[in-house]
Order: sequence, then C-alpha cells, then structure tokens
Amino acid sequence: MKTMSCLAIISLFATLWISENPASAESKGTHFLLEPYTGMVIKEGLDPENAVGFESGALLAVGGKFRGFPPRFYLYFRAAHSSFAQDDVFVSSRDSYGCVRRSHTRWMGGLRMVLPLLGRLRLNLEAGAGRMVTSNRYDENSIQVVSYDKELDAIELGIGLNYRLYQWLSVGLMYDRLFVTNDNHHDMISGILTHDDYGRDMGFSSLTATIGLHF
Amino acid sequence: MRPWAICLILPLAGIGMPIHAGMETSGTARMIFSTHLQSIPEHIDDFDDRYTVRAESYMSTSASNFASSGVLVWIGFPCKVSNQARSCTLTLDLDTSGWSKAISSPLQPASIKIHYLETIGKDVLYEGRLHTGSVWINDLALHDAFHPVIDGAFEIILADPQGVYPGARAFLEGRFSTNPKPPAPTPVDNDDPYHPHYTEVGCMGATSYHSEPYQEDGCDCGGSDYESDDGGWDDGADSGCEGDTTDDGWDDDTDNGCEGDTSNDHPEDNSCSHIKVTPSKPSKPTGGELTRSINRMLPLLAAVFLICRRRAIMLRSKKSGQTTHTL
Repeated sequence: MKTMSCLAIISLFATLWISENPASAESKGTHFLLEPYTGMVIKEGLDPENAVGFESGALLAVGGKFRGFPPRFYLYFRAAHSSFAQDDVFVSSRDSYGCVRRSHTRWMGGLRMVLPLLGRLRLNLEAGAGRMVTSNRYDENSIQVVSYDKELDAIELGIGLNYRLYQWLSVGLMYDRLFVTNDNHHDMISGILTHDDYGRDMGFSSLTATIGLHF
Repeated sequence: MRPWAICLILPLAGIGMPIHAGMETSGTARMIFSTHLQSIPEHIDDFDDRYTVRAESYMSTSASNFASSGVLVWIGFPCKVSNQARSCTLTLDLDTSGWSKAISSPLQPASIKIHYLETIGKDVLYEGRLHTGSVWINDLALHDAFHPVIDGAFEIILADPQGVYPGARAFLEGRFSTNPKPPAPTPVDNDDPYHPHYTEVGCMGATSYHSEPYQEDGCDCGGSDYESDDGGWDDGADSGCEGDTTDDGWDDDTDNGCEGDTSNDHPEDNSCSHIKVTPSKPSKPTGGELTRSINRMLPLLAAVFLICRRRAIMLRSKKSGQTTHTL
C-alpha cells in the first residue's frame, strides 16, 4: 500500500511539473522519463508452485543523447511490486496440503539504452541491479505455519519496444528477467515443500505494458 | 549534484544496505513421539504409544519472530495417532540471544514459541502449543555465512490451550541439527547426568549424543524410517547410517530426564513437569522489513524529485531562446 502511495505521489508531482511548463516541453528535447507499468510476472525455480502473478510499478529515468550518435541513454530507478495468487500445493512426502502466498517489492537502478528503429518506434535495452524484499507465507489447512520477509540482491536485464505517440507520451512493451545474486540463498517454503534445491535458482520474468511520460 | 548522479546513487544505496544475516539451511530431526488422547498428563511417563520419528527439518532466521538472534526450526513428518496416519508439523521458534556455549541450562520460557499441527488431507485433527518442557541449544553458529550450525535438544509436552482439541502430545529426547552435520562439539567432561556427552562414532562422520559415556556398539545401518516391527514404524532401536538420509546416529537411550536442567528446585525430580512454561511475548518482535525499506527510500525519492526539478528549471533558464528538437 505504501509503495502505491509513493508511486501516486511521484506521478502527481510529475504531472504538475509537466502542466506548469507545457510550452517548453513542446519546444525542447526531454531528459526525464516517468514510466508507470503493469503486467504479468512469472516466478521460476520454485516448483511445484504455480508461476504467474501480477506486477505493477514505475520507472523514473534521466538521460539524453550524445551529439551525432542516435541511441539515447537513461539512468533509471525502478520501484515495483509483484504479487502471486494463493497457491494450493500437495506435499506428497507427508500426504499434506499446503497453501503458499508470495509477493515481492523491488528497488532497482541501472542503464537503459533507447535505439531508434523505424519512425517513432524504439528498441529499449536495459540492465540494472538493486534489492528486492520477498514476503512469503505458508499455511496448512488455513493455519499459518511460517511467514517471513527476506531481502535479496538482484540484477535485471530487459528488452522491449516503445512507440512515441507524442513528444510527452509513449507506450511500450517490456520483458524483464530478474536474477537473484545472493550466494547459496535458500527458501524455507521450498524446503518445506521438499523442493530439491531449496529455491536456490529462484528468478522472475515479467512482461509489462508501459506508459512513458517524457518531460 | 547532477540529476543523473541521483539515479546512480539510489540503487547503489540500496545495494549497500546490509542484508539480514542469519541461518537458512536444511537439517534433520529425531525424537520419540508420544500421545495421550483424553487428557493432558503432567508427567511424560503417563504418555502411551511411544515410537521414534526421524524427520526432515529446516532452520531459518528470517522466519523467526526473534529477529536476527532467532531461529525457527520447522520439523515435518508423517505420524501415527490411534493407528491413523497423519501429517505432522512442529515449529520451534527460538531466541538464541541469551545462549552461551558455557551455559548448559535450557532456554528461558520467553525465548521459546512452539506450534504443532496434525492434519489428514485438508482436515486439521490436532493443534497444540507448548504446555511444559524445555529446549536446549548444544551448538550454534548462527551468522556463519557458509556453514551455519544449530544443534539442539528438546523434551516437551504440547496441548491445545483453547481446549478445542483434547489430549496432548509429547516429544521425548528430541534432537535437531543442521545439514551437513556440525563438527563434533567439544566433549563435556563432567558428571552431570543431564548434560549429554558427545562422542564421534564413525558412522559416516556422524556425531552421537549420549546421556551416558559412549560405549562402542557399532552401527546398524538401516536405511529406512519404517521398520517391519511395531506396525511398520521405526522403534528407534537401530541408529542407521549409510544410505539413510535422515539418520544421524543419535542414540535412543530411554532415559527421559531433563537434559541440561540445572534447576535446584527439584533436585530429585527427573521429570520435566516442574518446568512450567507460560506464554509470553517475544523479546524482539519483527516484521515490517518491507515498511522499513520503503521508509528508507522515501526521503531519497523526494530528493530526486526536487533536485531534478531544480536542475530542469536551471537548464530552461540557461537555454531560453534555443530550440533543440530531440524527440
């Protein structure tokens, strides 16, 4: 909830900023980007849980282009939240039914390169690093067995297409792959579910639709 | 400061924050499981149907309610109550902050939170909390990043404090230990009958725990948790070793005294019934990591906005009159 409030405040400030200076935004190049986005996220390496969830977030970026060199470069900061639906799991080793609920919030920063393709179509390539906090809960028969938050370091790689509708507005589609970089990290619920590698290979992929506000 | 520098500093600041250290590792557990279906006996001797259980286990600091000094030990195993196979889950949440290798007394009641659950399919058949008993930690290396170790023992009676589920469950001579096995602890050379003696028995390097000085009796390498006698349940007579992934060579001696209990209140009383544990709040409640992280970031976000805005206004005032079209 706080993340959403934070994003709403940032969006409000950005909107005010743009509305204050409409003329200058039309006449000059833009250096700042606020990009709210939403879409689906897939968790990997956490079998036998179901994989698909929902992600939303926002990206704040600042950058520009070098003279005579077409690509633009942005340094970005991203805040995102992903949540997965409650998932019923059968634990065969104990003939038991469990219920897993997971979500995570991440703060990432990195570099985005924007390559002009055709007309107003752009190719986005990005790489970043940061931190994520995962929230995990495991119930058996509606009784909570374990619940915990965990902080992890992560890196992300992304690729996507972007279409600049107006100077101040663009829409796009991004695919991001998130890798957890902590050595030898284990996940307790994976251990309870007798997953072979205890969640060591955990990762996330997201496919999101973006709206870019340029100013 | 330039705006682009903020975008660089923000993620780096996040990366630089220390990650909550602690233990995240699998382990094994073994105990004598016993039930009493009607009432809650105060003495462990009054329990019926004793049999040894070997179980999978997992130890986690992040799941503990005792912050960075806590370890939550999850133990899951199939059990049998009234000839009915059930799925059983025991969680021991332990605050290790007061623990010292030099102290052999059990953890304080306020440092222990225990929950027990029995289910069949999607039905809950029994839920219990700590009624009486004690938990000891024999060895601990909580913040060792590469080989975290916890090795402990417990003798507990569980009951439902709300009375929804009648009867009680007892765990005798309970042991839990991280995987891989910890190095052999320093042998305790004293005459304390309640303090275990540690002896290397040579069963694939496993450490054996004895209430009596160790006598060589070899290893019976079983390899299965289920035996043909006792209705298919392991009675704990053999220790098992090679090929038995859950066995750890612990000795199933049958004394049920309170190991490590140095209380002088009842010097002649070997039972655990005098150790009354009352529910108490954890010393360091946790949770809210997410909230704290967000709160940490909010000032930085505000700073980004203000600096970027100031910079943009300066750029505009500098370049007033110029028109560069860089869509």
